[in-house]
Amino acid sequence: MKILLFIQFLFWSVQNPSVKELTSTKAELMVDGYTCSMCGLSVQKSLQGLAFIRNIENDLNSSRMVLTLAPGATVDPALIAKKVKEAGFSLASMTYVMEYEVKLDAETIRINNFDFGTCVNDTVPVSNRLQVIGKNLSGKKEQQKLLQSGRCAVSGHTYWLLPL
Amino acid sequence: MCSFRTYVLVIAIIIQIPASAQELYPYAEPASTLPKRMLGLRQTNEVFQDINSKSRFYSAFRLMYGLHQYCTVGITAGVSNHHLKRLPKAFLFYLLNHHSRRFPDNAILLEGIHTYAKFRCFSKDGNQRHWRLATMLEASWSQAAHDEAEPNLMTDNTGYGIHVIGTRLYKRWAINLQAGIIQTVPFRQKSTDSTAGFYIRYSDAVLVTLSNGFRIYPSVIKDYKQTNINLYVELHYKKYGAARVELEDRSLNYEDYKIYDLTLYESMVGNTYVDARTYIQFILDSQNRVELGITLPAYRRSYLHSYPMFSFQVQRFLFGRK
Repeated sequence: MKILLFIQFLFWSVQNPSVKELTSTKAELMVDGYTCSMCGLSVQKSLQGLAFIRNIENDLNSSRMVLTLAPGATVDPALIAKKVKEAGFSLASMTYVMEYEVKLDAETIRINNFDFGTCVNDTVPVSNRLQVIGKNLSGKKEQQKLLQSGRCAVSGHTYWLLPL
Repeated sequence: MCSFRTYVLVIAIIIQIPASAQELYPYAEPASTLPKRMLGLRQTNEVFQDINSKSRFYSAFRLMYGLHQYCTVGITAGVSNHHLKRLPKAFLFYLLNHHSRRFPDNAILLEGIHTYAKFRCFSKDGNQRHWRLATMLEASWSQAAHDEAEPNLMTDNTGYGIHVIGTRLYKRWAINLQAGIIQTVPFRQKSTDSTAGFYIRYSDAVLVTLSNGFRIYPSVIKDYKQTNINLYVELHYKKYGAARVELEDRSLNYEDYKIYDLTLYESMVGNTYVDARTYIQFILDSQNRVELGITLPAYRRSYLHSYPMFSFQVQRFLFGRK
C-alpha cells in the first residue's frame, strides 16, 4: 500500500511540480494617475533605473507601458511598483506576456527567478497573459477579495499570478 | 480691464473645451510633488508699467528638488527694481515722488530668498485621474524696504506661510485649489544720517488660488518629442489689512497724504482683490517648459503691481539617476 501511495505521489509530483520555472521577456504595466507626457517620461526614467528592464514602450494616451526584460535577470514586481511610486504615480497592474500559453499547475510559478503563488481562473485554465496580484499594486480591495476567495495558494508568497 | 463676471464666464467656456487636463501650473502649486530625485530649474520674469509708465520688473531663479516622492523642496532668489534696500532720510519726499517720471528709478536689488517644502499627504489615483492633497510650508527672507501694506513672501517680506492644496485631475479637466495664510515680520530701519527711522508692520494675509489647466494641443500625444501646448487660467484671491507705519517713532497717518497721492494711500490700507492670471504653456521634449502669461484685475486690484502684468517663465526638469 505504502509503495502504491509513493508511486502515486511521484506520479503527481511529475504532473504537478511544486515549482514551475518559466521565463518571460515581456511585461505590460498600467500606470494610474497621469495624463501628461512629462509625467509619462518621469515614470519611464524612473523605471530605466532598474537593471532588469532593457526597453520601455509607453503609450501616453492609455498610460500603458510595455517592458522588455533582460533575459536571465531576476524581476521583482515590488521594485517596479516602487519606481512607479517614486515618479509620483501608482502601478495599477502588471501582466506578464508569455510567448506561449501556460497552465498554472504548480503551487509556485517561478518567472524570471521570482517566485509567485498561483490563483485559479475557472474560465481561463491556460493563458499567455498572467496578471501579477499583490503588494503595492492598485486595486487592494479586489486583491483582498481574490486572495480571500480561496482561489489562490496564499501561504509563503507576496505576489500571485492570475491567468487572464 | 476685465470684470470678475467676465472671467467666470471665460472659465466656464474654457471648461467645455474637449481637451486633456494639465496641472503643471505656472503660478500655483499643484498637490502633486516632483518625482523623487528630480531637479527643477525655473526662471521667472514679471514686468509691468507703473502708474507713470515706468517699467518695473521682478526676476527670480528657483531650484526645486524631489526629496521624496511625497516631498518637494525649493529655494528661490528674487531681484527687482521695485524697492530700495534702505528708505532715505527724506522719506516723505521719496514716498510722494518716487512714482513720478522725474524721480530716479530704483536700482536693481537682490530682494531676498524664498524657500518652501510641500508634502503630499493624500493620493487616490485612477486611470488618467487622481485626487491629491498636500500641505505647503514657506518662508522668506527679504532685505527690501517694502513700503506697501500688501504682504508678499516672494520676496518682498520676511515671513512664513502655510497652505493646503487640493488637486482633482479627471481626463478632460484639472482643477486646483490652494488656500493659505502668510505672516510677515515687521520691517524696521534705524535713523541714521542717510536713512529715516522707519517701522512698518504688515497684517496677515489670506490667499486662495483657483487654477484650471487644459491641453489645447495635441489631442493625441504621439511621443515625448511632441510639443504640448497648455492653457491655464488662475484666479488669485488675496485679503490683507492695513499697515501700521511709524516714521521717526511717530505713527504715520497716511490719510493725510490721500489728497497728494491716492495710490499711495490705497497701497497702505487693507484690501481684498482677485487677480486673473492667464498663461499659455509650451512643453518641449517633455522636460522643458516655456510659459507666457498676462495678469489682469478680476476684482479690485493689487498695489504690488500695475496691470497688465506680463510674465515670461522658463523651466527645465532633470531626472535623477538610480
